[in-house]
Amino acid sequence: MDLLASLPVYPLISFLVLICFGKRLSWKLASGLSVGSMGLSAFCSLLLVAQLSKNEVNVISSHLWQWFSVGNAQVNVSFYLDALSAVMILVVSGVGFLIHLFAAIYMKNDENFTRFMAYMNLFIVAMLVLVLADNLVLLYLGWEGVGLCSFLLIGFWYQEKNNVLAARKAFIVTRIGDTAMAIGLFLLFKSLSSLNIVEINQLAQTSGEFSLSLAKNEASDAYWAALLLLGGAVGKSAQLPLQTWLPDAMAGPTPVSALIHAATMVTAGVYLIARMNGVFIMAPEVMTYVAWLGAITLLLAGIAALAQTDIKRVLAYSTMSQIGYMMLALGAGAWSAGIFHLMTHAFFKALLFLTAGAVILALHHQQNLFKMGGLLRKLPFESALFLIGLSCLVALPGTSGFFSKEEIIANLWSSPTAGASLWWCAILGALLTSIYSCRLFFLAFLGKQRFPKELVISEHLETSNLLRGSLAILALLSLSGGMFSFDLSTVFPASNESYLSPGWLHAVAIITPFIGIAFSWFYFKNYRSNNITLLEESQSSWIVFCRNGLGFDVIYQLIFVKPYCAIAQLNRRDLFDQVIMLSAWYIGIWRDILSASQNGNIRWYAATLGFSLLGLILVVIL
Amino acid sequence: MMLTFVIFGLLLSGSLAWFTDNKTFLGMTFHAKWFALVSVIGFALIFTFSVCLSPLSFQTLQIVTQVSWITSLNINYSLALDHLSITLIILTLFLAIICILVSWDEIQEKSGFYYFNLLATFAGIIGVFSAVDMFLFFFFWEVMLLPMTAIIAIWGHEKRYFAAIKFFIFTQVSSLLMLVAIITMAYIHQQQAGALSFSYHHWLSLELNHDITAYIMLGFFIAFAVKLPSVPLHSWLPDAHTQAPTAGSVLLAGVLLKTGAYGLIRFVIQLFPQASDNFAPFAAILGVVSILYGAKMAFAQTDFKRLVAYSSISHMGFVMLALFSFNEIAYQGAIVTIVAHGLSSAALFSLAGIIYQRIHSRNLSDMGGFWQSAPRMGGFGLAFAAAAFGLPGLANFVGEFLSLVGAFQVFPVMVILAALGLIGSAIYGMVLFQKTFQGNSIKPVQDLSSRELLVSSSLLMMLVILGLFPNLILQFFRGVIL
Amino acid sequence: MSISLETTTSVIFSAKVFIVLSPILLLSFGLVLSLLLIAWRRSQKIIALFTQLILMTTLLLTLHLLLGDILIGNGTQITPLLKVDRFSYLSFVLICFSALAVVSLSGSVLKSEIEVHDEYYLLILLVVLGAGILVVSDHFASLFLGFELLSISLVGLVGYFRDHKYAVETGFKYLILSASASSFMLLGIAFIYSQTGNLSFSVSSNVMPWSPQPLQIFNSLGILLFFSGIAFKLSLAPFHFWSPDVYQGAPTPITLLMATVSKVAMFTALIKCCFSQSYFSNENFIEIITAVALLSMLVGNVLALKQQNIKRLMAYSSIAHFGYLLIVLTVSSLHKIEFAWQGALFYLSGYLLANIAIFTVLLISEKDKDNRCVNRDIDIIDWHGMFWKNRLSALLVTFSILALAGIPLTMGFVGKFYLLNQAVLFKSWWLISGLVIGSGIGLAYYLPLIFTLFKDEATLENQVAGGGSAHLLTTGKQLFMFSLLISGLIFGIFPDLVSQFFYQ
Repeated sequence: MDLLASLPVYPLISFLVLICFGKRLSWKLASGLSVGSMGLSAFCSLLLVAQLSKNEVNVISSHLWQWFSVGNAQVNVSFYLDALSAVMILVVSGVGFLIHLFAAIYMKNDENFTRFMAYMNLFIVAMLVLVLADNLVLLYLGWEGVGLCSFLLIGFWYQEKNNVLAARKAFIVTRIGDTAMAIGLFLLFKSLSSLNIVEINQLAQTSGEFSLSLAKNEASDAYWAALLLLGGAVGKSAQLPLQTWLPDAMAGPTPVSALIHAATMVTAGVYLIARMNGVFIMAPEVMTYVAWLGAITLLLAGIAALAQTDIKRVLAYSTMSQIGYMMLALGAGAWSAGIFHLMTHAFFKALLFLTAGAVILALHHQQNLFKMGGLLRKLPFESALFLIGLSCLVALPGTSGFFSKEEIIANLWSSPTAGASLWWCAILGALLTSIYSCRLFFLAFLGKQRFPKELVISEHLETSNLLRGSLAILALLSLSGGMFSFDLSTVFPASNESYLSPGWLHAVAIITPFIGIAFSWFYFKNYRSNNITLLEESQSSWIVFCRNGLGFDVIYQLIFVKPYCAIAQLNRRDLFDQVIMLSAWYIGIWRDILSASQNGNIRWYAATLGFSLLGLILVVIL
Repeated sequence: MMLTFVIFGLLLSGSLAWFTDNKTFLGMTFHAKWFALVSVIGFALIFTFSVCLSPLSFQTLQIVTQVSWITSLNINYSLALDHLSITLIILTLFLAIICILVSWDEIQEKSGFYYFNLLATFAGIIGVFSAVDMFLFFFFWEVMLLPMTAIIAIWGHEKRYFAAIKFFIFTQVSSLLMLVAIITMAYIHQQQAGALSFSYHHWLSLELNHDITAYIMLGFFIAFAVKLPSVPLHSWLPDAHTQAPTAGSVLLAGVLLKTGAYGLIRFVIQLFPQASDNFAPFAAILGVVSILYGAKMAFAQTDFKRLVAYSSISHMGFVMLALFSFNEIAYQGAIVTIVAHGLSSAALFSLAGIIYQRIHSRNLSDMGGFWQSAPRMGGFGLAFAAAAFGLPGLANFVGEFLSLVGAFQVFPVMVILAALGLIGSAIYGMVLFQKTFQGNSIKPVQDLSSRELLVSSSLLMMLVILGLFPNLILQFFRGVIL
Repeated sequence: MSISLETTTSVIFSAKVFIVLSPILLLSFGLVLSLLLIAWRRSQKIIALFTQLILMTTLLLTLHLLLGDILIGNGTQITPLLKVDRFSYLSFVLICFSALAVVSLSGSVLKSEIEVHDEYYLLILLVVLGAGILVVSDHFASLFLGFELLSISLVGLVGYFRDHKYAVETGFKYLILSASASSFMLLGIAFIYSQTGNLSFSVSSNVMPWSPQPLQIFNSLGILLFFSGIAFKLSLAPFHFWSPDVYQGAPTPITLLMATVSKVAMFTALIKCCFSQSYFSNENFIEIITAVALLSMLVGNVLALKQQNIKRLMAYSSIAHFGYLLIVLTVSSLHKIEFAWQGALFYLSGYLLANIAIFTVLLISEKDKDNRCVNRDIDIIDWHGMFWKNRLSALLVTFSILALAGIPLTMGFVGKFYLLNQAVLFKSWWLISGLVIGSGIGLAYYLPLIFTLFKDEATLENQVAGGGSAHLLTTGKQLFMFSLLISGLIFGIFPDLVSQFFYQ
């Protein structure tokens, strides 16, 4: 069993143990097991990355067994590690480890603690399989696996109806994307007769008829395949038009939001597109779609984030917009920039979520921003961490977010598939980001304290050092994440390095956040000023409209959900069945008629004798 | 010879179980369930070993028994086996054990007669899977019907008589059409080869180019489409499934529906390649409609078993679509789907039975929050629901994936429509699982007993094994030319 | 009318003829003997035993002749009137067997009366004799003779128990209707004669019955009228109206007699006539047959739905069954006649067994019920949960019903299989669809009857322990029922045992 294959095994073992004898394990044992297994796989992934960077082989792969074979194409259970997946496993196992550590303490008093940790482990397993898969079917396995885990974790507190509904929504909405992706797989297999990722990426370049459109008004296979894959990606990483599940997914416990809905799972879509770059390059118009989808999501999510009152929902929307950045980068062909941002975002968003979690815990599960305020004095450490996270988010110079976002923005202007308009979108997005971040910070940490006087410090004092330790490491990572340099040139085609773009772009990009901060410093004055006691969330219809996710939910409810349920209700009795039963009813009627003719009346009988004879004679004569 | 032994041994042990039930001989009291369990396990072992040890290669259809039966019409008692029938027979025997285990406590009164019927049904089904003389095939086809109907009608739920009659009439009428087709084939053989013959092998050598062939094929197709079942001939199934006792539903969904698929493969497609090729688009449309309609109807149900019943209509649609795309990949997919659905639906129905024993209701609105009090049951419920909506790693996924990939080569548009069924299945799977196990816990139920644990875990084991190592089955179905 | 015999070939009564005709002769001789017996001593027991003896010997004799090689080729002609062949023997065997069953079953019914019933037995013997003449007749005259003998003695039997509720009414119904039917038939025969100038079945070929003459229509009419006369006896739709009432009103053994003996005889005569006249190549006739067959299949089955009274149910189902049987008349060509005969006789024997079985159980439960309440009619409800009280009779009924429904393991299925073969050969898709639909509808009343047998006796309240509880069964009866069950099963699984008789 080589190192690579062993990577997902440790969490798997821990999952099995926890799920089988969950109830019997003590907290120490259970948390030790799950966190330890995570640590182990994090350590292993570090070793692997070391191997990868040390020796000049830029691919490590391990073949376990043949799953099944589709025609002549083998579908193996085998893992494939290159620079891209190396980054991913680092993020998944590293950040995952820290979040497990946090969760072990955060969820300590929950009665189903072991079940929770088991789900987390299972999620990591699925995620690792997703990023390590060497063929699309195995990737799909991980893809569905993370979907299931996110469903289970969102609905972890399944007694509340809302959580259940949120979980269902998340699963079904992502499933729509998954189905598109599955069809994409069918199409890829039909046109390239392979399901192996590397082969597909090569064949896509070489085979002519794949990218060639048959008729001039008819799109090529590459176009459709890329579009369908994009559908999958859009569903998983909550981009338009399938983004509606993410804000509701915040119903889950905060570590879940941190792990799944910020750091790892939602970036799977980005990973998929980056992974299948060979196909996407063959379909430039789809690349443009990707870029535009990213840009629009970026802006809409930013606007929606401005109106939220729930701290976690603000972060959720900001996640959407940050993933929009990544999509933008991918669409612009700046692959490595996108992945880079993926990594840094994983760091600081995890940090933000976990800190938010700590705050929420401290405030007894109070998530409403308008009932916080003045936390800077009460929770200085958490506030500091939060500030770091936010500064990364708004990409203040020096932070990791700065490097990644700058790289993205720099690539936009001159990219063949993106262009100036998208550059402006990105800048606007940066502005929005800084504004809503400031609003968040002001509301939560500045201003007058708007919650009952006696503030309960988090119950886990004895372990809170550990908790804070994990937060601190994350903070460190998100500050210094910009320094990590990895070389993805082995994976991606060389992106256009020739910046023939005007010089003022950089300046604009750099100062944008400061403009935003300055603006909000004055605009949100009463949020931060101490002397305003009570603060009302504005009820103006526009604000509410934005707060409810810009009305997407309503529209979908109207277009899809309601009709489906209506049809289902209408046809509860099964039309076909009723038709068939109708014939039975008809025969019944005939039976009544005939049995009425059996009236024991001898005259009638004799008459019928004559008449029927007459009838038959007519049959003969005519 | 061994096969005959198994079939009639099952019948015989069934009647023994009937007569010796709750009687005391030389100090020991016989119980039909023990008798049935032991004998079924025994026959399963006998069959498996004798197949493994037999020198024949079952790549093609190998006649194992041939005895002259009705000389005046040149009808023989002839049984044959190949990988397809072996796979299905083993599935049957496995589910037979499951059936006996799930009805262990459920069936209290008239248990002797019950187990007689159960074993008789198994015997009939095995006969169907192995008969190659068409008269004999029809004979078994009808014979497996009688005890099944008895099981529904005697031990079923409140509307059992209606359901049983509906089930019987649907099958009977459609199979009479098949009988007419069979006889016509026999006379066509008489015209071409001189002698009347009901032998499958003889028929394979006929050249069928008359326009009547289409009608003959249709006769077979309708009979099997009713059994499969395919929209619009499906409506016996929800009633039968809902009203049957647990073992009855397991048997119906797990094996009886598979006889339809088996018939499609063995007779419709292999006897009438030309006609069925012409018919393929319609069949594919029927398959797609069944997939979508079944999923939609399943979502609309409030009755646990009814929901699962409609879901099996949806799953069998995949089989239909796959088979009629005449593609090796799709064919393999269909085989895996057949087996996987046999297991998963059996699992869901036994789960339904387990819940029914606890709360005496099949209505989803009476359920909810069982996870609180019965976490094990919840875990299995989740796994089985996941199998139903085709979670990768479980057997159903492999089947559906292969079917769709294969069919996509032939009917791209229909496959895209069929893929919508994946969403539909997710929806009803979620509804089923969440309404049962999540939400506020209405009343606490007791968790799985060890016997139920055995049933569920063995089924789940099979699902996982086949999901991760489908080659265990697929290796036998490589290079099949349809 | 005066029977006119053109064929001047005066047949010498050779020994062979005696032997061939011996069953009929034996039967009539037995009749005379039993008359003498009555004159000598009137005793219920003796007359019953004697009748059984006669029937038994006739049966054995016929079987012996059948298995022997007395009949070579297609039968022996005895005067223009009679012609004996294998098939007439076979149906005579069936007739004797069912008559025997009737006589042995009648005991229980007759015991309940005070007087001595020797004429009852005489009438039964007369019926059998008439049936015998019918099955061997080769001439419209002899056919009519047998027909009348049969029906008139049946009239006597139908209204036999004068003091019963429906007796007189039923007798009158049957008398009037059958009289009119036979007059129709007579008219038809006259028409046919007017066309062919010949009354023998095996008509000389110089005058083809359907020869294109100006008055050809009369011939068709004649055939039609003749057919409708027989159709009345077979209670085919639309001549079926009398049958449920008469079935219900007549004493149960007599109902059995009507259901079996008269129908088998009539049908045999019909087949003989049609085949030897080869009507099947007359498309008018085929049209009529198809129409009547379809009508009977549908009407019979539909009427039987929701029917509670078992005797009425049997009446309706027999309508449907003879509708199915008409399929054999549509033979495609002369050399398929063998096969048609085979199918018809097999189906008839299956039908016979099923009817005898059901009526046996019916009689038992009737007697059982008679001890308790005045109403002797057995409804389905009376068989509620019989399986859990009296397994043997319940199994017998179940099996016979399955046979009627044509489910495998039974003779009914093989018979239906023969019929379908026939229909496929003749490509009469209409009849096939009628058969399919009809049997589909049929299940809708056969199955509930079976389910009633299996219903849980715990579930039913105020239900008297009906369904022939076991203590009433003498070992003889049980043996009889058991043999019925087993023979039905064996013949159903190995039909060769029966159909071997069809080939010499």
